[in-house]
Amino acid sequence: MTDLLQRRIAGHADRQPDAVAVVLGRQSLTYRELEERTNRLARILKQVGCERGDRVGILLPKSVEAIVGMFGALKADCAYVPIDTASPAARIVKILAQCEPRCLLASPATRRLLEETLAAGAGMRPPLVGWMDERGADALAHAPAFSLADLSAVSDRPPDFRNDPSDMAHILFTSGSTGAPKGVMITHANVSHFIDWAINHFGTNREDRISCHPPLHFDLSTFDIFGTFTAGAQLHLVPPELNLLPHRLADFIRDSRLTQWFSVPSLLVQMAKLDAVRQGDFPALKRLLWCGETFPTPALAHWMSRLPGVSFTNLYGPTETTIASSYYRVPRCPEDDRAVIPIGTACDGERLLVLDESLRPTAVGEVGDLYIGGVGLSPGYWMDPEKTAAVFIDDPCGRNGERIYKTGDLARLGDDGLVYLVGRTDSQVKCRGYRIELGEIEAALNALDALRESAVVAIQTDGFEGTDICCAYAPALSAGISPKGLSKELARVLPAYMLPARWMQVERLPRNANGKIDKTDLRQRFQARDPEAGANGDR
Amino acid sequence: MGTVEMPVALPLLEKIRQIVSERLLVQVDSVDTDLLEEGALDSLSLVELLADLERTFVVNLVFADLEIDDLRTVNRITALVARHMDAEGSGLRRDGK
Repeated sequence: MTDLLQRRIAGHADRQPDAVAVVLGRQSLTYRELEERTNRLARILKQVGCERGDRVGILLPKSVEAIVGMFGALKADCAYVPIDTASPAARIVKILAQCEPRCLLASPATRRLLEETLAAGAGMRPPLVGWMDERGADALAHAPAFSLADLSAVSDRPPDFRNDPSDMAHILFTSGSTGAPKGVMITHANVSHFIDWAINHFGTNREDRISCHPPLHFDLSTFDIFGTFTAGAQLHLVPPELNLLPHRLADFIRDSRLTQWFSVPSLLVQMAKLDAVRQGDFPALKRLLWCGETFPTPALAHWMSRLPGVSFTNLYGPTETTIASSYYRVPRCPEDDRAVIPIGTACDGERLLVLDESLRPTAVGEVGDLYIGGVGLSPGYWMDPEKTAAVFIDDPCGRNGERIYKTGDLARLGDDGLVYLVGRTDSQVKCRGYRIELGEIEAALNALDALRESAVVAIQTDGFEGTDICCAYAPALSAGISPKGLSKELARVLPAYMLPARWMQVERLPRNANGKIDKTDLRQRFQARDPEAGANGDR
Repeated sequence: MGTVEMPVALPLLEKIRQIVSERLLVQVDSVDTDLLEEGALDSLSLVELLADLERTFVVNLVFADLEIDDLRTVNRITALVARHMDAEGSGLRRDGK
């Protein structure tokens, strides 16, 4: 059923209008309310000039209003762009300058960020502002084009949809290696294919109560959102601050009687370490899914022994191939802490290929580059044909016009027919579930006058972060600059999760025979140092 | 939120404001600034902040017993520390000296 994503609410609004669709704290919307509210918002968006293919920026925290905003944009034939509200204004401006939204939705919770962003982006074409609150619009420095108070003036019937399944549904901006975030274009059909496979595979139904744990600019959240609404189930938005306290996160899973919990390993590891999950906890829970990073086997075994009645499934896939491309259900609790959990087999309609440098399949057991083909493949990066061409290539197997995507992951095919991840070929790292290009951090450092030169490397840790980002730098002046001062400077342009955790001041950076910065040497130097000293003493 | 705000001695509040702004690299404009809404706290910085507070005020802040609202503002964090100092009979006086 490849169809428009916004149609997925309407059927349930007819069949079970009073069933709860989305919950956050004391706030919730039924399917009828969600359908009607998003119809009204779509009509307003069209009235203020949004047309098919326009972008609508979602500068809202994870909230019921953000969900309404996404569907309103889709119903107005637009693509929505969820913006990380934890990013500083300078980074948001880079995103807006690229995707040029016709309209930007904001609310009191993001008012300051909105005003900073509009001030910092004074040179760009200013988007219309849609104020997703009934009150407070008159106090804004830039008068909004509409507010939620205007919704009651328009019809709650669906507008005519002019978009089709090959239209873009959203652009998801991820860290870019050259310093500017890059936008991955995802179509309605991309998402539909995955959701329809997943609903069928997991047997999701209207009795389900499903978490939405990741931030809305993570593509994993699109599975939670569109999967829940396709099944007619309940979506429970997880307040981001709960991540701070694993015991309170466990309370949330328990008290919300969730049946599906989809998360990132770094958080699951933290919950295991702090012993937040009791034996036989979460009696309503049926499935636990994870994606985005490798789940260390000891922590996985802890979870599986605590929750014997729950199924555990590893999903794998980069944003560029939509939510996930492969799956592996762990059949039983691993007995050996060194057991390697595979990424498994391709979801329906997708292909996982392990290829050598000549793009020929590697032999079983041999490491190669992991490529993905099939229905999840994004059309590419927004307005960046060069970057798109570099990683979306023609299928060497000569299927008609088909493309495959080079993930940058190294993998091998096991003799059990399953695919196993081995590592990365580039400087992309995963830290606390975030996908980070070290190049984006280096670009921000290079822009600082206080430094003569600097380099960023990542080292693996056993800790919750999984990876520590480490920065070695040589100050421009003999007076030097403290790591704290550098962190403050970086925080103006980078979100907190990209700030280096360890610092090393050097006279000059080590270089290899070719004159290139010797990152292997730097990694060894960081590894040789006491991590505690790096985390505390050096900051 | 229904919590009674305990009146706390100013020097303790000031000391904690200083620790929070140092550790979280944020300018704490007011002791009632919502640190969570500002996105100033993440799980890593929280662990470090708690360690700082435990060291400075000789208290034992048990992770499992903390509530999100205890961490929301400098005022709330101060009330949390003060509660622990009283309950644990911390050798440090309320003025943080």
